[in-house]
Amino acid sequence: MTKNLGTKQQTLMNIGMVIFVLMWFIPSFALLISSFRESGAISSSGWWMIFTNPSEFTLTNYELVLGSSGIARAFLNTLIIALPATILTVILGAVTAFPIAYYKFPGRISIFILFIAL
Amino acid sequence: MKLKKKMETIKIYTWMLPALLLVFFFLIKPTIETVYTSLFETRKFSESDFKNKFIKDIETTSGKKVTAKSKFLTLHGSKKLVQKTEKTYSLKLKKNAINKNMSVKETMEYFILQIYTSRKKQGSNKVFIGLGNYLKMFKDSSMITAFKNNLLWLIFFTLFTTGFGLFLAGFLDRIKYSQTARSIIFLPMAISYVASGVIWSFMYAKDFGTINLIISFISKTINFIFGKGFTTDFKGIALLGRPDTVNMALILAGIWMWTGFCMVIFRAAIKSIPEEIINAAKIDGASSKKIFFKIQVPMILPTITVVMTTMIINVMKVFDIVYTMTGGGPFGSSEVIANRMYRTAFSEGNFEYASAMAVILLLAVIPVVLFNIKSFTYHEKIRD
Repeated sequence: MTKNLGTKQQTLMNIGMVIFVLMWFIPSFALLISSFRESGAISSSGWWMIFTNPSEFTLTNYELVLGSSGIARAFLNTLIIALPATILTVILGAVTAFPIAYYKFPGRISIFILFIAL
Repeated sequence: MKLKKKMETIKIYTWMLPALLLVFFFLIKPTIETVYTSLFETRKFSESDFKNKFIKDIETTSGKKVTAKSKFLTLHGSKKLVQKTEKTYSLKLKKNAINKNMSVKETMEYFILQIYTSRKKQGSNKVFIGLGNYLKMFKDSSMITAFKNNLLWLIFFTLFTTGFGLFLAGFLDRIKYSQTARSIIFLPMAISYVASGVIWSFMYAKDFGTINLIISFISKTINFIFGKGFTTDFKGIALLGRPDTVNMALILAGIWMWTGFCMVIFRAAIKSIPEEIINAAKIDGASSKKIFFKIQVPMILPTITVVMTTMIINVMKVFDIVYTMTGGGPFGSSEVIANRMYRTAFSEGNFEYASAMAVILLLAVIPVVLFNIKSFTYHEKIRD
């Protein structure tokens, strides 16, 4: 694929892509860095300050989250909702798709549209 | 023979019964109910409001200061006020129900009693107003802003997510570490809307936001190159706090979230193009740009339309981003229909008006859905 691109074009493309990917990465990276900073520091200075002022580094946020009593219940609730929702969707979808795919019957297209459109 | 066919149809519908029931009870029935609710209005009646308005009305028509003991019918414009009150509350008073001896206070009390009894007879304070809620929407200034903003979202969000997605799907393979790059682009899809909202509110913050850092860095560089004073010193702007920037800021956050999704689908479509076609083009000496625009894009056109329609349906319902980041502010300048609907229903408690908004939203999505159905059934017919 790279053969029919000139070297100059290739470099330009690389630079453009790197800038694009960096742009996309900064917000997530900022979130990650912010999670290691003290809560006071987060809302008063930018996340990059941690590199000039390493004393801001802390794990208290994680201690707080993992130590709080609500978090276990919240994870459990997520599982309770996500697992049946996934399994039931697959089963129900398969059961419904089977006749639509294998049989010809009156109202086939309209029922198909009903499921797709909504 | 006929019986056998009938039995088969029954069997087929039994297979689909659970899904059909689900669709009926959780989609069709609520939709119909919403449309029905949107045609009504809850008339709230508060005694003190009624009294204040009544006294104000009679004072303006008579031009005098009215006390509770003034004889009502001696005042100028009292007959008209009686008629007006009868009309607004759809009352039917007996002839001479209000006589000369009644004071203003007694008249008001008589009216309030009549209103309460008529309410009791009707059984509820819901009044059928037809399309009144819909007409109200086009006079409601915050709704008009919401419509405008939704249009803005529709144009920019759809264009940029599909555009960036297509571009990345076509060209990201050519750089080193493209696998890592793709994961990074797709990463925002894995972050929940609320977390994304938090991230981006930090990104846009005035004093410590990353976006402001970048802008000030650029302005400093310009100053450095062209000498001091070429541009004014950049002090940072609250991107989410200004009516002129807030919408674009929110749309950018939305684009950040959904570009990865578009990219993945487009890449899958591009990969499914037979290798021979690409190789033939290469032998003919086509540049990679030409391959992208003349072969890959036309060949995945059906996928592009599907992704675009998905994005349009997505953007019509946009709520989470606006709700978590600005809540429609500042001064209601970033309102979208879904956010307006949520607030009308659950903060203001006006479910009828909110239902009307929901119906409008549904009507706006229907053309897109029809378009989708058309392309789907087209493919179905080809398969048959």
